[in-house]
Amino acid sequence: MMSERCGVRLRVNGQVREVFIEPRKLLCDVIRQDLGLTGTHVGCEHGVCGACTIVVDGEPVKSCLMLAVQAKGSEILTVEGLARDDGALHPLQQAFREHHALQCGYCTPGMLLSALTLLQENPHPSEEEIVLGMDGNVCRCTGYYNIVAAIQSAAEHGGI
Amino acid sequence: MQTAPSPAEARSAPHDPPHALPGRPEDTRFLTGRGQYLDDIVLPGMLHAAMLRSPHAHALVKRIDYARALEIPGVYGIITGADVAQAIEPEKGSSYPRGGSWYFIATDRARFAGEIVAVVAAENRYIAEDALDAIEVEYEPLPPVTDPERATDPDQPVLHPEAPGGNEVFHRVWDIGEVDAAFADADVVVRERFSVHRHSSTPIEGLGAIAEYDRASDRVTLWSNLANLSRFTAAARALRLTHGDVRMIVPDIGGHFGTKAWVHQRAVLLAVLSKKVGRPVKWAEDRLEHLRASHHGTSRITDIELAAKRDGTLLGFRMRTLDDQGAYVCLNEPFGPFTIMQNGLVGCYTVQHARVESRCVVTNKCPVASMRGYGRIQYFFALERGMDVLARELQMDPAALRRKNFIPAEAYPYRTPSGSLYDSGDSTALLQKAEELLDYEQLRQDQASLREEGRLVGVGFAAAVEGGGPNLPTLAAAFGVNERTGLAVEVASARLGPDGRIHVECPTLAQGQGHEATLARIAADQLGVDPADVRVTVRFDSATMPYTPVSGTYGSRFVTSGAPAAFGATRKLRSQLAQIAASALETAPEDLEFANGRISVRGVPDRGMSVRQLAARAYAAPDSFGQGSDLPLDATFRSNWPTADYPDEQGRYNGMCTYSVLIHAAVVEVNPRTGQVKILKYVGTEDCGRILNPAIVQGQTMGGIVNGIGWALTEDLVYDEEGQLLTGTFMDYLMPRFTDIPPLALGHVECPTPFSPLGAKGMGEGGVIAAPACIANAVEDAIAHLGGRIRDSHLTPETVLRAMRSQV
Repeated sequence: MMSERCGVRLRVNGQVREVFIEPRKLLCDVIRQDLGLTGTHVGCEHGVCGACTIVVDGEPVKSCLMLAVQAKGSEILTVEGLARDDGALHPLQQAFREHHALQCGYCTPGMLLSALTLLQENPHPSEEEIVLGMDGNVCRCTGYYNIVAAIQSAAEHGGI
Repeated sequence: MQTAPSPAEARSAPHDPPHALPGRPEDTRFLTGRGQYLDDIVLPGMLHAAMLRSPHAHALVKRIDYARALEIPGVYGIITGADVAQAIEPEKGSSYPRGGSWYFIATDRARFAGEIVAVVAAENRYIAEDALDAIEVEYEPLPPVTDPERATDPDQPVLHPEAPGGNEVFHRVWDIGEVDAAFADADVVVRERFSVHRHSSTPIEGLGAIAEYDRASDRVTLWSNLANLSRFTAAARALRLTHGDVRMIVPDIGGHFGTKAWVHQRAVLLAVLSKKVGRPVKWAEDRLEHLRASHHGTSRITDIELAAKRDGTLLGFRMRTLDDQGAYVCLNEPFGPFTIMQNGLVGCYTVQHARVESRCVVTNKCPVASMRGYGRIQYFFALERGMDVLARELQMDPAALRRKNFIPAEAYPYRTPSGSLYDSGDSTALLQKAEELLDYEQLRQDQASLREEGRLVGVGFAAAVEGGGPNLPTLAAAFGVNERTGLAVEVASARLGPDGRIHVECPTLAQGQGHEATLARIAADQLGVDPADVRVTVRFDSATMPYTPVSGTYGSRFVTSGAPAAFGATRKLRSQLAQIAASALETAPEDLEFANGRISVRGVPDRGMSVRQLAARAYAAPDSFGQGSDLPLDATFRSNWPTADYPDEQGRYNGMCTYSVLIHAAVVEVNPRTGQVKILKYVGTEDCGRILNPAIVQGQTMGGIVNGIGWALTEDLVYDEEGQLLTGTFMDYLMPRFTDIPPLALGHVECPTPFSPLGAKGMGEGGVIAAPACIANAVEDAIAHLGGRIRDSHLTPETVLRAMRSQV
């Protein structure tokens, strides 16, 4: 049931934001509804599909499994923060585009952010490491092949 | 039925070279998080809905008390079956009065676990779900019907007592040719029973809808992620309104695969709720609701018999099918059996004699409707497994048996005995390509030596036909039209903007297929402009866009509908612009060419004007062309497929616009101790005619095949005897992940359809149509020498181990 709202301050895509929310509110809902960043998509609400993946303090997080109050004081990166300020696509976004690594686009934001943290940790992953590293994200359109190719290409160009 | 062009004409259809994909225009918004999916839409004053669902598979709803729920701050209103039954017309299936009708919510009885019982509107989803807990419902549980084979037994409860026919909602025999004579002629007859499991194509975005009822005008605006505008008609009809009183808006769609075909039903419930609370109401389905209650792909039990000569010539086949429809039949359901005839009945083969006897029953499970590969997965599983059983009986190589029976390339266009006009194809060339990609001969040698080492490696093939673009002639009757013509229509418009940009609008309701890219390219090719100067809109708004009663994308129809309509509209615009430019350039319109953003006299590039100059002058100085002010800068084109016809008395008709042949092959290894199946290599070849966009075709083929692999190996909607779904989360309903994809080789043979200037044939579902039969054939090939036979389509380690031990 409804309870007292509390203030939560976050840094989202480099900017300070403060929301007043119920403690039970999921981080994905706060990002989408309170902050209006609807690029983070919700696919299963039980932590399996990975569509809601964002980066919290440098770690990939399924934002449907985290309460917003748990993220108090965190640095958050969502898909909206990936492109450069001048609008130029991030190398991973560019690689996804060039390799046709997306179709309906619904899982794509989560894929991009999982891939980003994968490459930050391991800038030159083998195909097997990509496949294992991305296994928390589900895509129903592409069959994954082009996503693997896009991540390989982004890694080869070293642009992360 | 009309005269078909000769095979020579078929192979010389207009044909530009394929082009590479420069990235799709739609990619930018999807990659930057700026797509607009249903749940991203926020309206002023909008409330959020949550749905209370029956915990019982079968129960009378005796009493609902929601007074306590209304006391929760933030709850605005609640509707139950009683409200809905007063406000709307229930939906009926194609076999009505059999199967009864449905209000999309339980009125006096819930017929499957997960059926909606009440809908709450509240300030946010959290409060709406709190309210669900405060609603009291008194149920009187009834025994459920869960076994389709027992559904019509006298001891089983009847789901729709008010409807005739009991739990059998469909029974029909299609008798094509002289099947009994064919069997009498046969040297060999094989019989088998195959069971195909229930599944869901389950896209990552669930169903969603928003309804805003306007009391002042008695009109409704609906937003939903539907893919087929015949559901717009259905929604309006349910609300006792017509198209003009309902505004339908379709935003970006996060995958569809047929799975959202009944989202209009939820939109209708929201409209009733919106009227009650006086506010717009949004509902975004969650995953548990989706798996339990959106709709499923049907399970089917098929008894198949095939009759052949000793040399492998297939003479005829008989199929008896039993489809489990779940609790309700709506719209075109029961439809699974019809897809067999619609798709051409005979697959890739010259066989002329067949009998299909189909029964459909209702059970206390989630209703079934369209899924990627609708009906064809089930049909080809039985036919292509049957071909392998026949091959084994004849001691023939399964590829050779198929080759023996293929419709020869020179026989196209080919009228199948069920009336389908197979437009183009070359199964033999595709099989050869598949064998090359497999290195088939070497593979058979390797298989033999591996077997000596105790390794169970198998090779399987499947040959199938993917009809593209449904012909829906009987839908015309829903509009009070009695004309007996084909119905495969679409509309598109093209406009020259004041800045020289070309705007193309077409209600394809794209779900990831890249229509903005493909239509931009088609328009650019016709008008000689850069694709970047074409703006394409495929998101739909009935208030601003032209549409047809069957617009949208389903049944692999885009290249038979949206693409030819946009082609027609841009051709029409081209001739209009040529008329305008001709007077300015003092030449005849037919002497003009469109290239590099310019319209100029053919052979005299200096005598011309840019499309931008023409646009600027046409908008700012229209009279300067000497043709008055009403210059034709917009063109709308309505297409219908030329070979779409009407069923004859036997139900024979050309059910689809195009027919793409698929030859798939799989190499698998079975773990002899665990029964685990590993796909070592998968080969998919297809002829989808002229390839409009290679990257998009490749992407959809790969996605479809992986979809089919999941269906075969890990995905299953399992019910217990109480009618409870046991695989209702993504922890149990296992879609393929990155780690599940095998090495894959794709191949194409292009036989352009002669019936469209674009030459392209539908292809979005092929992967999933062929893969399940192909993988099952490979698994059986791996274990057949041990006596193992595969009869169930879901190849879990347990199924495979049991098959190995059954020693039939």
